Amino acid sequence: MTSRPLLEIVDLHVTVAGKPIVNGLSLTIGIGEVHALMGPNGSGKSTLTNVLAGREGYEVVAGSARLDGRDLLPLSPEARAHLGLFLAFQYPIEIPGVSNMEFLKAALDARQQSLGSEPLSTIDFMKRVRGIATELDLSAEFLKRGVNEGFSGGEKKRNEILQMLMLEPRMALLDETDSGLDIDALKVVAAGVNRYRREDRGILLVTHYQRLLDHIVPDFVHVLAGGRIVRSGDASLARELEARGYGWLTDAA
Amino acid sequence: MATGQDFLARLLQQATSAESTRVRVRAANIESLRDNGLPLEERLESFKYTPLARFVVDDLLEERFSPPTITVANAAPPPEITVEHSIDPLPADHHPLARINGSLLAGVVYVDVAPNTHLDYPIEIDYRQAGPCTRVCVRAGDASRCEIVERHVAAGVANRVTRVDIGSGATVAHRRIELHAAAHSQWALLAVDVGAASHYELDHYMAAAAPRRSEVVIDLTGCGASCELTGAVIGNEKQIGDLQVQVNHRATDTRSRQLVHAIAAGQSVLTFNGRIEIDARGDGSDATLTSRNLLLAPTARVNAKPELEIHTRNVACSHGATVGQLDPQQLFYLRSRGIDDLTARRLLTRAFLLRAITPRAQALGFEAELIAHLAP
Repeated sequence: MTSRPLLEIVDLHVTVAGKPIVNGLSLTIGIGEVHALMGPNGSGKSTLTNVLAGREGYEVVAGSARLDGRDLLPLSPEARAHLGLFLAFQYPIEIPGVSNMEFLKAALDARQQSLGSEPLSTIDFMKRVRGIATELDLSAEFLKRGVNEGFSGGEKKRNEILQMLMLEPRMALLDETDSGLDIDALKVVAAGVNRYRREDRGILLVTHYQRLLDHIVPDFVHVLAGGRIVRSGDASLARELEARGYGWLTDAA
Repeated sequence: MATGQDFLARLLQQATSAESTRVRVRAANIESLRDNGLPLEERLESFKYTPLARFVVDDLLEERFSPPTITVANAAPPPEITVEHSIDPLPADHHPLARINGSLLAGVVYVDVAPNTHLDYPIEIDYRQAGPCTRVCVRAGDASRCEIVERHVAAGVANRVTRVDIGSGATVAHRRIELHAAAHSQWALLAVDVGAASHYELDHYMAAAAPRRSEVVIDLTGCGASCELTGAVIGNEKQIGDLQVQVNHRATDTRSRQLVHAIAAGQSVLTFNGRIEIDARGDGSDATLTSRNLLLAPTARVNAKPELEIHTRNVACSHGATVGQLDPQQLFYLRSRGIDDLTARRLLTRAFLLRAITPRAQALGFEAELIAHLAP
């Protein structure tokens, strides 16, 4: 498959508190592609997604990351979002006092503004958010609660997918969105991601487990170890990892 | 600003030269001021951030004896309540600023709610047209129920005394906002007496000024009396805001709750002093106080000081205070969704404020007025 690059990461080096975590990582995700990034704990998966989203506390010491040819790294988190980048958080943040509805409206208004479009009317907004919430098996009451406040692990993850479907980003980074989900919730989340999947969008799935990839079949699978990609393949690589573990790859790294 | 002695001389001259009935109202306070002067030189701990002298200003001597407007359901009061402008002599006040108030008053407005009356509409006390010195006393009869909505929004300098006396088995909900007049010194004293098995609910919101000091004293004097205070203090620019709350448990099985959020922006300095005193009669008292403080700028300051004084054994009492800034994780989460930094900060600031806004205060529009005050 040869397609125009959507997300292009070249020789990225990142340190956290002076300690190197990502060490020369290169990865290109083409338009319309779904990539899975797997690897043991501490291999740098979450660091990579956080750096791409612009979280503080990470230092990029070398390399580049581009979305649609635009350099992401000097941009604020909101500017990256406006370019179409979305991070589904591994640990979504609770914000008591800001309702989920108000939060979604503010995010969507910001997106419309960045696109030079009119904000959605309250009626259209409500219609859309209710429709997506229903698909994700989330009740209307859920939208009135504080952002992620007192949500179960599964509700938090579904709330991330809800935001993704509302904001329609071009490139979604899903950081262990499958962790903490029971099999029913996993199916709901996977259905949401599959609905989002389109030929003009890209997805990077960060996961520990093959399980998610039974529901969202990736075009490419990469293994991250020691802050670098040590092996890439197609969906069959994930099944091999499930059978053999990471040892045979990480020992070499 | 007047120096103390000059001010006092002018005050006494004016207070005693006005017509005779007024002098009768004020006599005891005038005498007390004449004998004792004003303790402007004393370094009082509770006046550390808002010195007494800041509230002793010439504008208080303005010859305009206008009480606040009192309305019920936008109409004249119904027969169950009476509003009376009294010129009966007042006893001398304890607080020096109340003494100034008592020396300049033309009279006291008494609002009486008859026993067993349940008012469907709030008693609204509006200070927009009021003169600098005012005194209002609400007396809620036994087994009555009422709501008081007090809007302190006068344009100039203010020295206000409000009393609420609650009989037994009564419920009074008091919503209070002190706003505007950021360029003038504002002082207010609210003294409340809660009788046996009565409940007093106070929603108290204030914006800092130049400066604004608000003192609240709640005496739980009857067995089983309870009070619940929910409030916020906000400051911007170089404003100063000082909220001093004292809850006195003076009877058995009394209960008090205090939750106050302070938000300091710009170079403002905010103080919250929440004091709980349980005297020897306060067996079985239950008191809690929570103070949360948010600093929006490195140049802003908050002084949070919870205090407990307990003179009996069988009590449940707790207090806690936190001071912090906006949570960087929450900010990042919002910004990662495309919400710009300023909007994200506003959302989180409002969220912090909302946690100390009661549903009724929100319905009255207090939250929106406070947020407007924080805008740059």
